[in-house]
Amino acid sequence: MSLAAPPGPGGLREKGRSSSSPASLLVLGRLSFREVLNLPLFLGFLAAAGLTATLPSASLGGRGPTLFALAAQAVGAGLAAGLAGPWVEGGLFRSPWLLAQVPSRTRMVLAGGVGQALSLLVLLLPALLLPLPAWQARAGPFHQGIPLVEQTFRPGPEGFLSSSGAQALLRFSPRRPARALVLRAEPVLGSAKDYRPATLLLSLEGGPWRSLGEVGIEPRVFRFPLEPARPLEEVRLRRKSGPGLFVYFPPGGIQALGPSVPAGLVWVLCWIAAWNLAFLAAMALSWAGTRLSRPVALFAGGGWALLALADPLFRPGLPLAPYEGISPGWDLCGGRGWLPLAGGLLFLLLLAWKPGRAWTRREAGR
Amino acid sequence: MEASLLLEGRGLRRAFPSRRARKAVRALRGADLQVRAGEVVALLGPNGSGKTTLLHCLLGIVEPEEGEALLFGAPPGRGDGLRRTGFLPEEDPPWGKLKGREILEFTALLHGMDRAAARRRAGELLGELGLSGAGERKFRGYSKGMARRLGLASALVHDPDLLVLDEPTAGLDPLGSALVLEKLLALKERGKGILLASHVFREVEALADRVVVLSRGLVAAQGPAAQVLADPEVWELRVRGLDPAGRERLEGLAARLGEVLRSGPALRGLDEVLRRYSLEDQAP
Repeated sequence: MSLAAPPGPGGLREKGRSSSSPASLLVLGRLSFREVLNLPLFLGFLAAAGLTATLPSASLGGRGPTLFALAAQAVGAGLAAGLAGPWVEGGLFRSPWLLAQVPSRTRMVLAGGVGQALSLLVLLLPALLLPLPAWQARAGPFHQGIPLVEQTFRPGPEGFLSSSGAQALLRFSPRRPARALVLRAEPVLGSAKDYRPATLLLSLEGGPWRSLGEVGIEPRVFRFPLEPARPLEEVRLRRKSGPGLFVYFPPGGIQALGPSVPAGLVWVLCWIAAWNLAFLAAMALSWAGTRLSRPVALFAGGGWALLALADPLFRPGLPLAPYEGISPGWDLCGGRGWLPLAGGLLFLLLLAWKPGRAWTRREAGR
Repeated sequence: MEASLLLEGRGLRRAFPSRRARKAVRALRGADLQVRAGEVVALLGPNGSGKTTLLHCLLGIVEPEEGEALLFGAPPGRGDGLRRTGFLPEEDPPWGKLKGREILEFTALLHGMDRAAARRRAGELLGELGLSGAGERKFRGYSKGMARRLGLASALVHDPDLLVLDEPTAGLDPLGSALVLEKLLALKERGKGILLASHVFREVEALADRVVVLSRGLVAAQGPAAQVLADPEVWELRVRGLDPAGRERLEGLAARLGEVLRSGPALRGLDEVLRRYSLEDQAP
């Protein structure tokens, strides 16, 4: 008897297909997609995303777009799950039965991996989309913020140059080089008697006074470039003596901009800012409990949860910061908020490291 | 002319780490096995003798630590050996929410059939194995017997030349067993090679050309089915340190054992009897 394969049913061998044909790999990919994207898990993610969207930190770019993005995500994920077909249990992919079906393990692993990666992407889309409004709100060049350490207005009150010849002394952190000074000046119209524009003067590091420009009845943003970039420690502002409007600098209206920040990094920072880390930690725990072994789940999710709990200590005033430049996100990353970020990265690393377990022969059983 | 060798294992060894014992459990300790075209080989042995591990090593599901497994002349992961083999595992795959028909179609698609052929083949097999009415039911609602029959159907979807079956009739009622045996006999007549692990003597007597008895990871005996099943040496019970009371109990046990064997029992039952009357434990 020959070892050559005789014809079989369904034109299998006549067509010379191997069992790792594109069709079979597609089936495997779809099933592995559905294995991850089950309804309870997806609903859990969506609920967490929805709750997070109601938090102050999610209002960076408006709640409407955020909720719209989540709704679109829900519809998209539902359609994707429907197209993928019936849900299968994860154990199927570890079962000896499946391992005995497909000759090409490498392709099977790839197909399964692609399916799982796609389902992860679908599940994580809410997380990816959530910072979109905030990111769009910051369209334009992104810069690292330089902390304003001290500001003194004379005669005051704070933020006001409210008399002829009033002055402000501003001190910035000298640790980062400044590329520009941005000042948002508003006229004080309520008690004005004289509506003539006021002239603002600027002095850097005790140097000579130079004219910055005039402030009329419309608010005005002055951008004063610094070429080359240099540490900026002392800045003085003065309202030129004489008649005219008084000037007010609202909170966050005085900024020194540091080196530019890549847009991708800003996305990440907005992502961190838009999501409440405690929710992320809760989601991480449920996710880890589902996908990973218990010790790893406790280590990763629990560790992140602890860091998330400690997070408010490390990023005071985050919800107030959206219109104050890039500083909150940046502070979170480069300043004192590195702990939650490190926790999150650790968890992602663990996620990336562990998913292969479902595909190892070692765990296929005896 | 000698029939071609479909499946061969040479000196297969495999151990598994044990959480309870400090030492690894040596499931296979150098087992050899061959299955030729048109031959039915039965693998017998009590629980824990290494039958399932041997089947898994032969199919490449578990890597042997030593030895070699050849499926249609090549290691299981290479060539088209797995494509020409149907496998029914001991435990039902966790098909869960998939319907019976979907499972068979899914299996067929994995083996490269087109959709129409897969649908047709699934319908045929559901009918042949008495599952026509259950094709649209979810697998989780299947009884044990229905699940075994569906498992067998999935092993047959691609009309394999070799069938590897791990306890194909476990949990089946007499009617279900008869249906499966009938199907396997028909396959045997068609010249398919079959390797089945079983505890059921009657099934082995009815089907097997050769019997391989596995004990503690080693082949304890093998040969033509009638010869091995009738050989008292194969079923010898060794007992040490027996006191008079123990001897009396042993004689009673032997008489009972004879009855059990004569009435066509399950080896699993025998294994339980031996465990209950663990005479070696009474050694002084």
